[in-house]
Amino acid sequence: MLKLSNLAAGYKRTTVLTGFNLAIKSGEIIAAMGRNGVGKSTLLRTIAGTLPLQSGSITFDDKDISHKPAHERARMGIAYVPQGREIFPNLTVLENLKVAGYASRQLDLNLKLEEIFSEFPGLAEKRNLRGGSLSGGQQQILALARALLTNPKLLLLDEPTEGVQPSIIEQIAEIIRRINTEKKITVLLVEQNLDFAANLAERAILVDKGQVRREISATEILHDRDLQREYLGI
Amino acid sequence: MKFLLRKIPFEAKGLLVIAGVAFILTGLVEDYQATQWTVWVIYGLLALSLTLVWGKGGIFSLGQVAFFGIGGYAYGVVGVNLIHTTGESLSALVAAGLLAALFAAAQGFFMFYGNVGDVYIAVITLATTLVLYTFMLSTSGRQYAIGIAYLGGFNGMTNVPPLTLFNSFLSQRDLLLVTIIIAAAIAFVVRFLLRRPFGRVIAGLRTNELRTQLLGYDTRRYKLLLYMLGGGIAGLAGGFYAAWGQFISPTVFSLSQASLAVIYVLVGGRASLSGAFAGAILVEGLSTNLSKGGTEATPIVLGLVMILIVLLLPTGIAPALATLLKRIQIRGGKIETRGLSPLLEEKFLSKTIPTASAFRKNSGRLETVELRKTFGGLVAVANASLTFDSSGVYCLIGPNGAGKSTYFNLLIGRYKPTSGQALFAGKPLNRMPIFRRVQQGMGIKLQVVSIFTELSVFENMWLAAYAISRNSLWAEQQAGQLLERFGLLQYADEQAGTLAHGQQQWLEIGMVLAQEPSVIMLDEPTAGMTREETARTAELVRELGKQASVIVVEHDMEFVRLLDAPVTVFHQGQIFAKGRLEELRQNEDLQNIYLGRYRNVEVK
Amino acid sequence: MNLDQLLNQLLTALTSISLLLLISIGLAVIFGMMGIINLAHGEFLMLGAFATLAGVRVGLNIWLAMLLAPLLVGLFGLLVERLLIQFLYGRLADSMLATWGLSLIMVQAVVFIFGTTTQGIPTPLGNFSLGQYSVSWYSVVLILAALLLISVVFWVFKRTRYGLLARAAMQLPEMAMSLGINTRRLNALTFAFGSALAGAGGALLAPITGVVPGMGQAYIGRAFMNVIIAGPGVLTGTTAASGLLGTVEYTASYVSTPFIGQAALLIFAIVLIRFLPTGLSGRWGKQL
Repeated sequence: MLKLSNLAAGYKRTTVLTGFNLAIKSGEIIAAMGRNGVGKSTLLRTIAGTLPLQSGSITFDDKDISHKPAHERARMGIAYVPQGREIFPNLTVLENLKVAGYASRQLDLNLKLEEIFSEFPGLAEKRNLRGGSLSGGQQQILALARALLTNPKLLLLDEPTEGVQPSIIEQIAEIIRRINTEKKITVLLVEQNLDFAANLAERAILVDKGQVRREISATEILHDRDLQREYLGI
Repeated sequence: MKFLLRKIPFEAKGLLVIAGVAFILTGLVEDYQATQWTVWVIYGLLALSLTLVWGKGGIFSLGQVAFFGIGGYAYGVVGVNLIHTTGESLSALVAAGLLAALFAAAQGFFMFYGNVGDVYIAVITLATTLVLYTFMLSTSGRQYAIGIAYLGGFNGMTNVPPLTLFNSFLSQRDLLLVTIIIAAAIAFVVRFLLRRPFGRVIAGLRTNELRTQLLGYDTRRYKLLLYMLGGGIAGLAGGFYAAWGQFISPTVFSLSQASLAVIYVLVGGRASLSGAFAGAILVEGLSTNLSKGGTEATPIVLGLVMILIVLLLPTGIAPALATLLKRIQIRGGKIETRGLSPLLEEKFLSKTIPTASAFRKNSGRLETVELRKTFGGLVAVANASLTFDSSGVYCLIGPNGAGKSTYFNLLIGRYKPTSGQALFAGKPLNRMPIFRRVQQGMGIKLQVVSIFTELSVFENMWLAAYAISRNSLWAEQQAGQLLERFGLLQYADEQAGTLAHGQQQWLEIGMVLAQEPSVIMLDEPTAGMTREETARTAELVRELGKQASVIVVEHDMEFVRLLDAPVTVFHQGQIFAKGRLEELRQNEDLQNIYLGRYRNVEVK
Repeated sequence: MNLDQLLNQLLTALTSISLLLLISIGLAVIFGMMGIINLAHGEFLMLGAFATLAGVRVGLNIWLAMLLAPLLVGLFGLLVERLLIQFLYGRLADSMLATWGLSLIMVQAVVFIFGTTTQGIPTPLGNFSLGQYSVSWYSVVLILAALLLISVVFWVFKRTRYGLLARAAMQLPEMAMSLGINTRRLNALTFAFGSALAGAGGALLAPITGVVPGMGQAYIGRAFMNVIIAGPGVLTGTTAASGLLGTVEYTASYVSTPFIGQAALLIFAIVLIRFLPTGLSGRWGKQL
């Protein structure tokens, strides 16, 4: 349902991704892994539309979205949770969710909000707290809930475990798994935490210097020491 | 004879030509034309001062007219007081320029040494001229007098003496002649100055202030000097203005007058000296003709002109024309180079020149003692103590957010430490601004390429070499040799911005090396480079490590491998491990850190 | 000093502060939410005054005219945003220059329509006595109006859908876009809202000043410095800055002349900004 063909993207004078090719099937969970600076965040930003591509094409749901602005891609069903989550710090938890609801023109917003709160009771009890006062893990859950509210087909997650307490990591993995199986939402996640990514995803793509180098199963990367050393470690 | 002619600077010849033309011209015009043209030239001079400060220096001074007004009032006050004693008003003219320059110095010091941003400079300068406007409006009473000169409040000073010498004042035509000659003289002096090292540093400053600081220039001082010069010129123009009209009032400080100065410069091309005069004359000529037509459409036209230029022709009319001319020239024949290439002749390249140690002593080694940096509650770097020998390569690695970049920024001076110390040759660095560290012997290359994209490749290198030697000739030779060493010699006269990304990285590294630093700080130098470029960079860095201390922050493991140097691993702000790469690769804990396994756990 | 004197001083000071707030709140919304510096702001004030004037001339009740003026100016602002401002986001220097050009056009256009003679409307409501002092009721109106506008801004940004989306976009513009918010359309609305507020400020100025096409110039300097000193906090910052600068201006005018008062405000602000570059509300982040 998502296809990247010969994608090149970057910033001003630098091209970070070159000749990037990727095809994701509906309902999959895919992890993109690689060291820092190889282009993983750039990849997500380009798919989300916050970074314009330099050449190549992106097809989503059989439609060419290569030049569509970010807000239109969001309305088409692409939800993007950036690195650092980007919770609106000076809005309350409830307001953060409402923004997503208004933005995606949800009908029966109040009903949907109650559904979200029953699914995430932790958020319900904090609904009037400032977003910026939540812990990293709570923010991550809020970010996921916020993305869910927009009824997405594709979820792009950039480093969901960064800055999150260990106790919540398992909870987050559980949420993502649930999102994928129950709501049939496709997930593309970028992660540094090998265990987290490999246990969640079915497929992993290894990125190096702006290109896809290997596409393997998650179990392979979890157990192959040499692969790990070559693409992830030192 | 021809040789002599070439030795005399272009500016002097130009001035003579203009003086000649002016002489003939003033003989031919009518009196009323002379009066009108005089004020046009005066406005042109005001525009020149703003072009100098804004177009050449990048200082967004929207209130340049304040100095014009100060000059006008200064001429009025000094003139009225002295005219009967000295029988001349030249001294008042000089006072106008000096007082304005002084005021510019005070305001400039306030702004530049306070590191105020662009927008605030615009707001502060604009607010200043408004303050002066408001203030002068309230000077109506008899008590507001300096000497025997009444300031006159709203009505202004109506008894300003005309330009007088030896008790006789100049006629309309003579005034025009004098104004043209002085304006031209000032323009040529400015042009000359801009071709000197001072002007080239200013050009660098305007293009990329960070890089200029990273080369060791005290940009604040350069901006201040330029601003004073601009203020003085505007003040002189203001003095002429008061002498021309024999009148000066607070409207000279008003927003509409201030906007005119900006419009002249926008129309004429922000960075063109001759464009300043062209813009002023064009706009004034247009206004005069429009009002002759009977309509009051002038402000509307001017407003539209401002908007259209900003939207469509951001560099102004003069440069657009210049680009057009250049295209015609290219078709016609070879394009004039800036006259620098002749210096890159063989004999200069093979000549051995003194090393930079002729200009500065090389400092010793860099070390940090319990260096710590916190941002709010977050500990970015925790008590890092490292010593770097005076030669050798050192690699700082670690996953994202481990603290190595923060550590790097602490060393170069971008961040101030929360506690602990950084020492360079035993001297503490703590509060030292970046440019001074560079002067002490630190060479810095940041991750994002930072060069002077609008200047030529040669000028880029020259600015680097000049910064530490202050010797133009040595700088030229050093620049030439380094360009050759990096294989960039054939691009010497091209705009640096046109180079490929990898070449730009090389140029920047070359610029750092041109200063022959004793400590070289490199932040991800191979970002965006191809495999071969990365390999060549590794070779270069190893070479450099033989004579200097090279500290490299990197992600690219291939590059780190090629460097074959001691590695320091950061994790959660602390130094986790030190050693050679091969040993470290056997370290389980280290591998796990990179696999993100310890990301969320405190490691002992 | 007796009670009457004290109350009189207090009232005058509060009027000063309120006036400062009224002329700045529109500019603060535009600068705080979108980072655009509108150098034609004084002319938007002027438009509000003229709209009120025209309304009164046509026979409308003065308060009704004051209510309609902001609507007209808001619509004009929307037009300006679509035709000019939308090309200038992120280009701070250029936005200053282009809006400066706009101000020239606006002044002259008004001269064409209304001529250059100073006009005015009589101050409504007359005076009341505070002990031995005669105080204009209109000062009270101004103070109440300032409070009203603050409440309006608060209500719009805290209680409406547009307000929530605008606050989100102000804090994290890219994230807002990623959620599906069309920030360009939002910006147009914000500019219109800020213009309407400026129109309201100008409308309230009409009875106490000579309404003349060039009147904007007298207020732009102070409005500007107020907004810069305020910092990113549209309400909190502007209120704090108005209080501070208003007091400075009032004190200086009391000690010498109103002109000196204005000059003092500007000088004080210039010095303050040097030491507090992010303004008074700089530490509280991008919020209301």
